[in-house]
Amino acid sequence: MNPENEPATTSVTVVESSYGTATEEQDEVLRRLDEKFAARIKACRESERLSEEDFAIRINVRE
Amino acid sequence: MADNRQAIEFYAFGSKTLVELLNLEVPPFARTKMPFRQLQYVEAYVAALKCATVVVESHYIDRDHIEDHGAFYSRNFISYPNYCTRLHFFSLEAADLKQRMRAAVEVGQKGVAAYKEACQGLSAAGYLGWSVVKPLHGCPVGRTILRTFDSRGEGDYKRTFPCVRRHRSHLMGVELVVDGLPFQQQDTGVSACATTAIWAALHHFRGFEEVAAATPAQITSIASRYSLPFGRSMPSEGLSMEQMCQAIQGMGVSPHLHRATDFNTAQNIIYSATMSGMSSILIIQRDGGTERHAVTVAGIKLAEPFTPVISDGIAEQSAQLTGAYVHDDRWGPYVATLFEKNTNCASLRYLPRGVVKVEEKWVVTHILIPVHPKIRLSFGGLQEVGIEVAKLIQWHCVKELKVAVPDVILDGSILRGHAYVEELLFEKNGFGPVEVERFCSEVSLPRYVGCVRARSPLIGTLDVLVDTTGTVRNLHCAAVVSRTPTAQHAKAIGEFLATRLKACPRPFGIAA
Repeated sequence: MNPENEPATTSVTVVESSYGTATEEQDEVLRRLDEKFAARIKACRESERLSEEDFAIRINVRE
Repeated sequence: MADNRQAIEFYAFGSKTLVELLNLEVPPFARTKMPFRQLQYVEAYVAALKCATVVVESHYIDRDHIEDHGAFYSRNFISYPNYCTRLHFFSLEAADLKQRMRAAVEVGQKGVAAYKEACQGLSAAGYLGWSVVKPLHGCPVGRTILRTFDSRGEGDYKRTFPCVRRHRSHLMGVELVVDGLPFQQQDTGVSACATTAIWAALHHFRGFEEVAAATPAQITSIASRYSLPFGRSMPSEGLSMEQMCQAIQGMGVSPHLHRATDFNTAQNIIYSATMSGMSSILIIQRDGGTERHAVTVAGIKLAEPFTPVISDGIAEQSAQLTGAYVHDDRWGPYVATLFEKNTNCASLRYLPRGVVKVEEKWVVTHILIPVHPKIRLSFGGLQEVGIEVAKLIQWHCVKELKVAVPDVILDGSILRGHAYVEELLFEKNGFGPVEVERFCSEVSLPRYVGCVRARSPLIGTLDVLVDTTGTVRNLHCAAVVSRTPTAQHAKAIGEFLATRLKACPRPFGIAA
């Protein structure tokens, strides 16, 4: 293959957000905000990740 | 001939204990030291509401008991009656009460409207609610609906009870009303704590959606239809989380289940669900133990005054939540608990009040919210949307407006579309009739709308309304509404959000 035809490789990190996709180079502010809130968003998603163990829990307290 | 004659007796509250009044006897094999603790809790609770008179209605057919009777107690060797006794509690003295009741009935001569008004006046003046007493001495407290505590707290907090609704009872020709959330104790025959927690939450759900009334017998039966992980369904051996979800689903309601992964997330979900008027079921585990319990949230305690604590440029309004009033079938209705951080978990601390003598601590492990099937967006998802909105606001402030990153206070709720419109009409900072008409003409709202409210001095209060029939990945934004258009950057941020979120092309509440 002719090296000139090979796709160019880049080191740009793609940041996924609700308002489009921006590259790190294009938007440092966005990258910082995404990083800042990543843990919060992860916590929201984690609360909905349920396993078989969760559904098997028995609720039966007696007086 | 069966004896179904009615007898109504008036008693001065406190002249006898309720146990004495009802001639209850401790069953020979009762395991608890306080066999009538729920009844004693009710007694202490109405005493705190300044109860003065108890009216005993000797013959009352209770839907829940008669279903439980048909499913379970009718097959006992010893016969149990299928009817109950009902206690009505009033803060009026007996003589005054009788006179007012007579007057309300006499007003009926003037027509329905006058009669209803008189009945409501009597209820507001002194009706505290009722308690059905089942003919089962081991578990006498049946459907009990009592007035809530006053919203004013004694210290730096206030109470709010969005999970109560209006209930009616009829006594001697008078229609009485009380706002409350139904409570009853478990009987361990038809129901254990999980069943009664679902029963209370679904009772509330009926207030705003038309679903059939679920009795404990029906809930246990539906829960056990496809799965019996702990053997027979009755006598009840408790339910698994899966069975609880099955029971809610079987009643035509959607079970939203969350893990209480950390304190903040749990606080946010419980706060948002309660403020949305949805009664959540908390699955709790005894601190340091293994047993699990289920309680239903009737109301919450909020810090007042409240100063949001900013972290990473965001504060959550849900941090105002400092306690919960729960229906706990081991004790009674509206049990006061503190919502606390326990390492990074959320826990409920039961306060020693009335018959609750010893402080208890339980860790919240899961939150189960019965919601309308049209609501697909979870409260966790709504929280995620809120964070994205805050990010957008901060991004635009820095990139376009060239101002410092603003601190944003977030609040999230899910409410009926028409209720949001009414909020615009009636609340402070709401709209005038012209803007409401424009809003209703241009925006198509789903049955339930998700409202992310962002506040900051720079932008004022902005509502981002999302369609709850979608999920976070494919979410549709219906509108952006500015509630304080005079804020410095309200217009710029409102227009930016409306465009970016592909909502109605321009925000509402702001002049074009």
